[in-house]
Amino acid sequence: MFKVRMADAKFLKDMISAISILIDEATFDLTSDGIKLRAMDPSRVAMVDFEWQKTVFDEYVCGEAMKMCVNISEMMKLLRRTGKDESVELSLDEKTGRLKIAIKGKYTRTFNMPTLEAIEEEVPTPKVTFNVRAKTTTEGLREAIEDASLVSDHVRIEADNEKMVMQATGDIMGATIELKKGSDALLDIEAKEASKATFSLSYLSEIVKAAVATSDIATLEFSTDMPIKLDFKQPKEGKLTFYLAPRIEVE
Amino acid sequence: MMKKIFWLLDVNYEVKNHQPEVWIWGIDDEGKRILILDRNFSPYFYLAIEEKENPQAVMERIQSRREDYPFIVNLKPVDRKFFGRPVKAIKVICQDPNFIEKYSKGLEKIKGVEKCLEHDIRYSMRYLIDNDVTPCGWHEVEVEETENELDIQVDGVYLAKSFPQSVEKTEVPQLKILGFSIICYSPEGASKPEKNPVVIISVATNAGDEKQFVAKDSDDKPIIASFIDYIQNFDPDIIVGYGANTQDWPYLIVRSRKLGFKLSVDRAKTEPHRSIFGHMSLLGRANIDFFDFAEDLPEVKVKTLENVADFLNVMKLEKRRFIEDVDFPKYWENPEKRPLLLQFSKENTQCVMGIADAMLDFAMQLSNLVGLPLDHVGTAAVGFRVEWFLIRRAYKIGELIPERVERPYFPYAGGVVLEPKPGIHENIAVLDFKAMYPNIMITQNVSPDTYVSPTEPEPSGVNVAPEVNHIFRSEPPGFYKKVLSDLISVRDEIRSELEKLSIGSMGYRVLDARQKAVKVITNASYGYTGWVGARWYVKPVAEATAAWGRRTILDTIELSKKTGLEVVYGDTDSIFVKHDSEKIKKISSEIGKKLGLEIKPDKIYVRVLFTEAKKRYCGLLPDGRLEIVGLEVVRGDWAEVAKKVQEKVLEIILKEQKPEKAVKFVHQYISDLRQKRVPYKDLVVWKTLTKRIEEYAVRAPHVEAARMLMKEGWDLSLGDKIGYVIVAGPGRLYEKVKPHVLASYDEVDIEYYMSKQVVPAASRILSMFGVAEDELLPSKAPKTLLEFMES
Repeated sequence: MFKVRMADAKFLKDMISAISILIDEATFDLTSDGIKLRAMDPSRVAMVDFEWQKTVFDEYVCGEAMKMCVNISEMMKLLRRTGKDESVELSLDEKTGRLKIAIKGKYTRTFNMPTLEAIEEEVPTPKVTFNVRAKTTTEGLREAIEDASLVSDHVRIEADNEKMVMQATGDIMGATIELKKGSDALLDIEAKEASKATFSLSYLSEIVKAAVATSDIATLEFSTDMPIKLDFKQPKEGKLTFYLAPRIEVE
Repeated sequence: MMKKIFWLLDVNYEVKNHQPEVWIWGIDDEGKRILILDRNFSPYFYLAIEEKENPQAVMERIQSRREDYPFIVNLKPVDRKFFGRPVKAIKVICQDPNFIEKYSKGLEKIKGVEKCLEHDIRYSMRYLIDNDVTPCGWHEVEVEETENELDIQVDGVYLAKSFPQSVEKTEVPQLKILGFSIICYSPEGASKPEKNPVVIISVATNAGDEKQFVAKDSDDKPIIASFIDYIQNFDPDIIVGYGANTQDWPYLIVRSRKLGFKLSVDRAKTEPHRSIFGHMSLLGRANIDFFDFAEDLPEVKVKTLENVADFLNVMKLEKRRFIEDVDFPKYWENPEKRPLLLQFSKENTQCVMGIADAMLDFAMQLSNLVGLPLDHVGTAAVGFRVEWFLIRRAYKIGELIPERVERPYFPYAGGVVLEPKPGIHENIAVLDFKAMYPNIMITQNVSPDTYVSPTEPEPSGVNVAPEVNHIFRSEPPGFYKKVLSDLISVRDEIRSELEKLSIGSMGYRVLDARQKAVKVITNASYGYTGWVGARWYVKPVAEATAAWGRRTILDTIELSKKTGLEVVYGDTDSIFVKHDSEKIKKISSEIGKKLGLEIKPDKIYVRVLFTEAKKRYCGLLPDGRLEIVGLEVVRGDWAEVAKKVQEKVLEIILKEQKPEKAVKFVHQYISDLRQKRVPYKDLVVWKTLTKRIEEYAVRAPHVEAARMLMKEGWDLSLGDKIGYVIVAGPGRLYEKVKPHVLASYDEVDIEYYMSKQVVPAASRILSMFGVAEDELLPSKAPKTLLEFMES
């Protein structure tokens, strides 16, 4: 059996929202320790690696380990209905295969939705040696990416031990955003060697925009022409990490 | 006096005291190696006499100048035919064949002589033709044993007391075959026999022996000596090599002379010598260079030993550890790597032996059919093979053989090629006319001797070619008609004979090779008519045959349409139609009745893809194989990367019909290319030098590469394949060229290979499915994480 409760429904809503930017159907790994999900978007450019320990929940019951697949945009529709100071309860009816979502506040409404056939495929993590590790405020990162998005659909991120520079070149306009070590935005940076890589802004901005609701501190790791890893520090015992493949520029 | 039955291996002639002697090398029916000397055959040539002249008068004029021509022993007036017309001629019998050329020039000036003929037929060939003696065939001759004065390496020497007669016997005697290859060592640049040693000679025999002669350091004198000894001891009938005529033999000869001895490997213990056909001739042995036969394998584009061996399934490329010439020194100098070079050389010889096993039957049958000795037949271009066959036939019907004349090339209208309907077509049958041109020549009696020129009065009963309006007598049967009818009926006979034999048996192998040889010659006959180097060249013959061919195919298309058979494409002697067995049966029987030609489905394509261009398409056969015609993948100028990508794209499109999957494949391939996961050799572009380097006015990439190689001391000549890569750097393409042997992977301009090779080759196909070229480029296709997940 699987049954969990969370006193603050917004917490769940924000997380599901963050996951929903990459995938439509989410297969969660449910165990007695907590829930996990690792999945790539359909174009295989980005990946989300999410984990919540059972302690994140106010109540957590999971009998034997199982997989549960749901249509995440449908689930989002329901969760969007949650308001301030409302709690949420999820329970899986294993006979009917339907997921029950009960939202309790001023009044109680209980929705149910179908679960889908789970995807058995295990997604490995990318094997990358990262040369740069940068710690930013999530908000500062969001601002910088929003600036870059004004002029182009891709951004080149360069870093050394002193700073991180985002360079966006569009058809008509260009932008350079410099984050210095020790500034409000860039809390810390370490670079084994100066590195640069280019990423799609549509992915990057969606990821950061969604993650900002769940996290205050982000850790970026990358190497030249390698995928970037964005880890958003979670307030409770859990993790939300994204990987994004680089774009290779052609002269 | 006794009779000898023998199989003819080789023939040559010697002249002693102006007395010619034909040397016939054979193997008798007891397996003994024999040499028969024939002193009974007189050399001769003809003088064709002007129409109004009296041969007797001309002969008297020659007699009066007898002192100028001391070796003329007899003059005989004869009646012959020339291009089918009766002519008066004088047969000039000249005791010393080496004087024929000189005499013919003098006698041609005598009043009443129109021209000399057959003075350009070599005496030993003359002997074979006139006596109907065929190489690789069995004969019977009356002989008398004689002294082996010259210490020839044979079991017996005989004097011929009669001319040989051919005997009915198909099996091939037990032949001793030796194959070899050499590796030379030069610390830098191409090796030169004057200074660089032969360090490895790998030998194998069909008796199962394999041997390597390996030099100690750079001292090759002992190993060449051992190699000579080995040949003399094994005493092969046939020596096979690959590129031996142009490389191995000349190198060994020069090297031996330099070292102070003679490369006496033949049966008369003399050096190999270059013959008029360009091959190296070894007295008493047949020296065969299978590189000459690689021309007959159009499927193999770059005709290297390893590629031919791969194609013939002798040794697959994947199984070979290939070493480039330039790397020989590295391997030879390093004691740890030297065994690899020895292995490589050993495998080269194994490939040579394997190729010999696969092709020797064919070579022998071709030699037997056209009458050129086994060691000549490979070197002779296809036109010459057809011609020697015709010459034998001409002799039998009293036709004089026209002389060889230099003529300028002229183009003429060839076959019909329809505009294809671009895109994918399902279930397409290819209907082929069986030997269309030979059959046209037979049914229309097209021949040099049946042609009626516009200045001649038109006889009754003629065939007039469409479009070009050339006229041919319909009776009596022309030279070509007779020859071709015979060839076709002979092949039919062999094929019905084959059905009685079990596949793989000795008899089957021989007859199968025979029918292939007959087919090759039959199908080459039309090409011969249009070859300006042909002795029987008559321009209207080629033009008329082509015109009848066009009419045939157009009539067939018309008929198919009327029958309701959709025609999607047509080329020369085949049409591509929607497969419908009933309708196909109907039109083939109608064509048989109306045109007297046989058309039948040659193959069925499950699916075929046409581009908008003619002669460029790709079909999927029911067994899953792809047949690619004329696309980049089979043309020059492209590196293997382009070919591989295009072939794979075609495969995905034709088998799965998923362009999006093909696009993904291209992205992945480009990613591999950028990460240098593509083998270096796949980046090499191969092109042939068609002129001498100095004659090139333009700065073409392969010419630039060739120049660089020559600077490094490489010997290059016409016909050599030059391999080059494009390296990174500024400038035009020809400024970015480097010979592949001198460049390294790190220098390669990956962007060039991506945007100028891989993407255009893929786009050639994918553009037909609405995929734009820039969709194939990775800038529009972000990398995926998957690429970073593989180990």
